[in-house]
This record gives sequence, structure tokens and C-alpha cells, in this order.
Amino acid sequence: MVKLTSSDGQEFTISKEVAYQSVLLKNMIEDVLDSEENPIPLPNVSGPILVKVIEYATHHKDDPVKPPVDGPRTSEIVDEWDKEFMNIDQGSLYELILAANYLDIKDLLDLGCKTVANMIKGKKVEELRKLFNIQNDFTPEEEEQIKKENAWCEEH
Amino acid sequence: MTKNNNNSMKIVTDFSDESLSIDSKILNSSSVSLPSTPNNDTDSPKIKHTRTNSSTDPNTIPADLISSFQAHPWFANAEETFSNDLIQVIHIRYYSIGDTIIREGTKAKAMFFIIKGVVEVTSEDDEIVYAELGKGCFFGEIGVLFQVARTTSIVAKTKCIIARITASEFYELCEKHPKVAKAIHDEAVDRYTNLKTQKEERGKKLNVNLNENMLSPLKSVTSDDDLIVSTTSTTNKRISTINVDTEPFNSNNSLKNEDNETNSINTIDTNTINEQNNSNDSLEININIENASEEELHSPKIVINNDNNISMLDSSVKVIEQNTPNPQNPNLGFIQRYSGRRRASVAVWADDQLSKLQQNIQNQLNNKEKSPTGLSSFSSQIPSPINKKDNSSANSSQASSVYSSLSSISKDKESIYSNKQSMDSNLCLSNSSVISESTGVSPKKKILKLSDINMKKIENQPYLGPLPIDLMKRCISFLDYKNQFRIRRISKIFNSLITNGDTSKIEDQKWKDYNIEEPLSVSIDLSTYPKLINDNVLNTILTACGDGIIVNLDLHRCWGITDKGCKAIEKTGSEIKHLNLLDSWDITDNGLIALSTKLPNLESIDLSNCRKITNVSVISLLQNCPKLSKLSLSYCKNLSSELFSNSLIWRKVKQLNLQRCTGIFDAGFSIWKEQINQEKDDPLIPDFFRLKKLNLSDCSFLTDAAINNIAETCLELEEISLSFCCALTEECIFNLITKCKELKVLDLNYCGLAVTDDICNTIAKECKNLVCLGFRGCIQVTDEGIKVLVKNKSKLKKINCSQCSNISDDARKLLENNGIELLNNQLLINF
Repeated sequence: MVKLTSSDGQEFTISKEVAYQSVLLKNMIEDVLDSEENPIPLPNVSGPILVKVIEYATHHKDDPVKPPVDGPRTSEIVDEWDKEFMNIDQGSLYELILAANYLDIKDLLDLGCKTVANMIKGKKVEELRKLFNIQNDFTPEEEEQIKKENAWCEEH
Repeated sequence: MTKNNNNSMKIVTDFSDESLSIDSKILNSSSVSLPSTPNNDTDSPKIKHTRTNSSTDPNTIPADLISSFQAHPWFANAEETFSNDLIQVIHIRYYSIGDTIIREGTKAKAMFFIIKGVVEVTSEDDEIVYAELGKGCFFGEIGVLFQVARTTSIVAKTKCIIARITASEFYELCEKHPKVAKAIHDEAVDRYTNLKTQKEERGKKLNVNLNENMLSPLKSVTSDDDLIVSTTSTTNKRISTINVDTEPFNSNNSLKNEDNETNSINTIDTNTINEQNNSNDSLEININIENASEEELHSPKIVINNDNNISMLDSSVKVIEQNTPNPQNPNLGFIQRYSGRRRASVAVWADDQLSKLQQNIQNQLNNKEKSPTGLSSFSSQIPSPINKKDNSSANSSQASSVYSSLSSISKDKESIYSNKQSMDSNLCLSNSSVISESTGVSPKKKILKLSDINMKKIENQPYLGPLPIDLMKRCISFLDYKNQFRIRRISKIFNSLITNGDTSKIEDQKWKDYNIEEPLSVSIDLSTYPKLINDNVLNTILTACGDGIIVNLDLHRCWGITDKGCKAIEKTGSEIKHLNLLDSWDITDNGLIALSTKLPNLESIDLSNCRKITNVSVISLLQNCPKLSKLSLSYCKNLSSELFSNSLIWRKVKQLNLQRCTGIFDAGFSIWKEQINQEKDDPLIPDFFRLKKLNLSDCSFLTDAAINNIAETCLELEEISLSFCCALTEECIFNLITKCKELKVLDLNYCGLAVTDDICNTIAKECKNLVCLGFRGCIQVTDEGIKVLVKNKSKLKKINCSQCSNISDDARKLLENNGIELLNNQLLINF
């Protein structure tokens, strides 16, 4: 078993199998003796997010190693459980992505990124600016020009 | 009326945004201009109605029908007034089960929208059901748009309520609503293409020449009736089939569907083309000046072929291409696109036919010595698509693509042809590349103390919106390129992140001069929205990215790309390593030759199914691109044996796909051997080829001589596919497997003469590196062959011995028990 401490001081005990989903934890556990005694501090991951991460890692702990996927990258999320799992508020989504990146859990990172990609799809540019809180810094002339160039890919 | 229900299917006609969302500015140059013609609205006597209620007064159309009509999703995308305008002109018709709504071969006077019910798209004799269409679908558009006779029959499967619109009213409507016109036109072209494929797979010909008739409306807008060509009466003959025990859809079926035979190009009315030439003299002159050097390179080919109509088309096409932006004749772009016939290919011959064939080949080769054009006429003599008695199951799956969009076909193709291996890696971010590697064997990070844990670099990155910029980039990387390009409008940093990586002009201090190591445009894949891509769009995208950014450019099945598009690539090609032009079949030698000088880093190119290119394109690519080592040229039927006349430039090539290059014969490979012999004493020249992967499947004209030469010159060969090279015998296979010691993959599917128990024995002894072996349909192999393979298997992991009637189930079990996977229809070689 492995003990983890979240940024807000909560302690979690998980099996090695679950912990090994994270490359970061795997490396730490392999390189550090007595990780069962000393909890591993995860100053970048809050308790609620760590709960989510552990839920994901537990669910997928028995997954076979996936062969590399050929073909174009797609934002499609195939697994129904994953879809349901990502049904979370945006704040948590971003935190989860950051945690997955930090803990080095590629599948979870990709799942989070795909979820963001799917949020982008179908949204107008103005909506996206609002969604991501980004200022439009194009001059009206530049904006007009780029709009013209983008005519082919605009969704109506 | 007998119907093969296996062939029927449910259809969802999907007018997804990609066809309707095109900006009208683009449409002006590419949409269909339709003649406004008086067209008497008289019904064909063959159409029987149980009850007909015809009216142009919308008030007599039941209100619920109107609303159900308007509710259809693609009206929602059309101009608001469209459904109203449509309702003004439609005539509502009611049909009972079994009523023929249109009959194949009759004159096309109207098109139809299904308001309620289901219709079947059938062959003339009602025997084959190509597709079913339901509520909201339209039909009859091919005949009306291209002014050809009906290409299929339509029969009511259930009670139907159908809105009919006459051709003339439809033309008027289209003029008012270019978006809808474009959508319907695109669908019509797709359907036509698919229908043709479907018919030809069944050994039928689609008796309508789209090319000819698509020119017609341009010639005149007054004498409409003269232009309607009915071609069904005489020529509907079943093409003779020759068939041993084979499956028509064995390996690369989707490409076979695309199998244009060049000969039929001849049917284009050259007078019409000349008319077009005359009216555009100035344009033509411009081209000639601009492309003077290319013309020079191109001209020998015209001379060589000048007894052949193909070359006349070739030269005309150049003019046509320059015409496309002219709004007067926007149809012309499609002429080139569909200028060829499609035909399924021939795979296995019975022995007596084989010997005839070989005789033919010999004759052709003899002719060839006299005239260099002999080869090109040869393909016309090769008979027939193959039909199999027992192809109903295959057909049903094929049928499912009939009326769906072309993209479904192309999906198959993707898996076969696209070479994505390097695409993804470039999308990985600098940080995440560590992640992706680490799923396998991770480089051990030595962490001595917990407190030493380094925060990842990403944590120190500036945030773009809610995430660090690299994570945001990773999110965007999961979008298709259209969506990526779309959201560059959000802000300047998004624009830089997606297109050119240039942050120097951003005023925001946070981003000014921030180093975006790899903008997303390093890999551009435009193949997911081929309908949206034309030369102008490509130019816009590439210009936004600028030179030196793009490494992977995937334009496969972007049919709208022509030589003008190649010009755009020229300007931005300095870093391109991988270029995929599969199915961009309007590109010609002119475009490619010029382009070849601007791709100094090119490593791989896919020109499969670029039907117009000839030897000179490929040769100049090899001469101008020093790193080029991977070429896919399958279905480039204008390539000939002379492609290899300078074998020196071929020595660097490591992967070569010549599937179904029917113009390349034994003579080509004998050059390899001859030149190596000649240069034997020159120590500077490597005395063998570096080829590791070679696909010659469907090159059914090759004989032992070719394979013997390959065996002696390509000692490093690791993978080779000879499937459907049915003329090969044991002798050359013996040569190959004893000389090429590195062979890992050997695909001899359907090389029925060549694979015997003896060969199995030799393989077991000689091919110590062999992992994957295929001899599907080789009936000479018996259990003895299998036993000896199992006994000496060493590295063998996969075998395809399906359709080998002399191999027992016990022998198959034996293979499986020894850890050998039995393959069925998987491709052994991927390009």
C-alpha cells in the first residue's frame, strides 16, 4: 500500500497497483524505500481532485496496455464510464488536467484534454473567449481579415 | 420482383455542416451554374401513380407536410427563404408500395424530396437494391443536375409522400440558393461516384457519361432537350467475368473502387474543349509563359502519346484548370475530377487465361519496342471486374456505402494507405512527450529524496485561459485541423499557437516573444473535410502558417486540389517531410515537377491514385528531394517501365508502393539488374538497392523475370507483397526467399501457382526472420506444408492460409496451438 497526502493535508492509502497508473508515483515508489511508512506529499493536488484521480486509476487499473492508435487524433471519448467520469464542473476539469499532467497519467490527461476539445467544438469564437476568459486583442481590421480567411471553416 | 435484401440498407443522408457551411464567396467560384431552361413538365408514361395530387399552390399542401418538410435539419442550414421558395414549386405526389417513381434510363425531368415513406434505389431490373432512402432525403438529382438519363430506378418501399420539383424550377431555385445548389451538387457527385463503383462491382456499367454531359450545359443554355443523352439502350452488357476462387474485395478493395481506366477519358468532347480554349486564349498563353520550363519537361510525354486521345485531354486539362475560377463555367472543375471510368480490378486468372494473358503481355512488349505507347493501350484489353457467386455478404457491406458520403469509403482507405505513424508524434508537446514515452519503459528518474521532486516545467508556464499554454495546446491538438484553424480567431496568441508560432507582434507582454516551440500547424491534416478544401482554401491556410513550419501535410482525398494548390505548397514547403496527396487526382506533372524543387526535406510522399501523373513527376521528385525514401504510387497507371530507366535515383528508396501500377512491366525491373551489372566495377555506387518494403500487389502482369530481378538487387528487402500477382511461379519465389535473408513479411495471397508445399519447406528452412506469411487462396498448399512450417517456425507469428481448400481444420489448429495467429483478410503490409 502507498500513502499520499494532498495539498490540503488529507491522507489517502491506495494499493501500489493503483498508484502505478501514475508514472510519477511509480518512479517515486520504486526509487524511494519505505513509501508505505512515509506518505508521499502531493502539494499540487487538492483532496477532492485526488479523490477523482484515485477513482479513475482504480477503475482503469486492470486495463490492458493499449496499442498505439493509428489514424488521426480525435477528441472522441469512446468509453462510457470515462464520459460519465468527466461530467464535472469546469474548475474541477482544469484542476484534474493539471493533476493528471503532474502525476503523469497519460490516459487521464488525454481524457481531460479531449473533454476540453469537445467543449471548444461547436462554440462560436465569442463564446470561447468568454469560456476561457480571453481578451480579443485583434484590431478591427485584423479581425476582419482573419474572419475573411476563415470563412471556409466557420460553422453556421 | 426478386430482391436481394442483403444488399439493402438504411440510409442517413447527412448534410452535415461541411457541405452547407461553405461561405458563399467560395461558392461563387465552385458552385454549379445551372442552365435556366424551359422544360416541359410532362410525366414519363412509365411512372404510375395510384393517386396524384399535383399543385404549385402551397395552400393545397397539408400544413403538417410543410412543417415536417421545413423541420428537416438541412433546411435549417439553408437560406431562410429556401424552404418557402421550394414549397412554392413543389408538387406533392402519393405513391403506393411497389410503384416505380423513376425508372433507370428514362429522361430526367424532375427531382424529388421524400416527405414521408421509404424508397428503394434499385437497378433497372429491380434485382439489386443499392440503397434505401427515407424521410428528408432527396433523389433524382443526378439526372437533373448533369442532364443525363436516370442512373437508377426508384421504387416505393412503403407508401410514400413525395415532393416533386421539375428540372427547370429546380434550376431557378438553385440560382437563388447557391448553398443548397452546392450541397445537392456535391451529394450528387458523391452518389454518382459511389453508384458507379457499386454497379461496377456487380459487373455492370453505369451507362452515363458524366463528363460529356456536364460539359453540355456550358455549351448552350437553350437547346436543353438536345443535351439530354440517353445511353442505356444499347450498351448495358454485363462485362464478362473470369474468376477462379477469389474474393473481389480481398485486400485493398477501396482503392479498386477508384480504379479509373484511362481509356474512357477519350469520350470527352474535344470540340467542346476547344471552344473553351478559344474563349480563354489569353489565359492559356499566360500559363505557357509561366510554366515554360515545366512545359519543356512535359512535352516529351505529349509527343510520345500523341496517337492517344489521353494526351489530348491531358493538354486540354491544363487549360480547364486555369478556367475553374471563371464563374461562367464552374462545372469544369468536376470534369477533371470525374474524367475517368472506374473499374474493379482483375485478380486471378484460370490457367488457360493466364497463358493468353502472358501472350498478350508478350505482344504488348513487342509492340512497345516499336512504339512507346503500346503499353497504355494494353489496359483496355484486360477484361472485367470480378464477381463472385458468394459475395453477397461482402456486397451488403459494400452497399452500405452506396448513398452515404464518399468519406465512408475513404475511411477504409485511410487504414490501408495513410501513413500516420509520424503524425502523432509531432503533436506531442515538449513536456508530454515524456509522458507518452513513459507508458512503456520509462527512463528511470532517480529521485533520492522526496523533497528533491522537481516541479515540471509546465507549472512555470504562463496560463492561456484556464490552463498552462502547453496543456491548452494539447487540448486543441485533439481537434481536427478545421476546428483548430477556426479558433485562431480567439486572440493573437491563439493564432500564433495554431498557425505560425510567431509571437513577436503580440502586444500583450505575457506573450510577446514567448517561445512557442512547435505551433500546431507542424502537422496539418485536411483530409477530414475534403469537401471544404480547394486551392484557395489551401493557399489561405498555408499562407497563414508561412514557410518553415509545416512538417506533415496531409491532403489525402482533397480532390479539389490542383496544380495551383501545389504552388501554395511550394511557398511553404521547406520543412515538409511527409506529404500525402493520395486521391488528389487533379494534380498533374506540371504541379509536381515545380513542387519537387521546393521540398528539400521531403522524406515520404503518397501520390496514390493521382491518376494524371507520369514518370517525369516521380523522377523529378527523386532527383530533387535528396531525403526522399518512401513513395506510394499505387494506382498511378500512367507510370511505365521507363520509370526505372535511371535506377541510380532509386537506390535510396526504402519503401515503395506500386500496387496496381498497371503500366509497369517486367522490363522496368530488368533495368535494375542491368544497371547494377554495368556499374559493378564502380566502387562509388552501391551494388544493390536499399529497398526494405515493396508492395507489388495487383501488379498482375508481372512474371517471374521481375521478381527474380528484385531478388537479386534488393538484398535488404524485409517486406514484400505480391498478392494477386497470379502469373508468378515457384521458381521466382524460391529465388526471393533464398536471396532476401531479411524477409519479415511475405504476402503471396492468391499467388496460386507459386505457393506449394515445397515452397513452404523452403520458407521454413531459409526465412529465419519471417514473422508474417500470407498465401490465402493458394490451393496447392496442403497440411504437409503447414506441418513443416510449424516444425521450423522460428519467428513466424502470423499466417494467412484462409481459402486454402487443401488445408484441414486440424492443420489450422496445429498452427494456433503453436502460437501462430491465423489471419484472414488483414493487410500484411501497411503503407
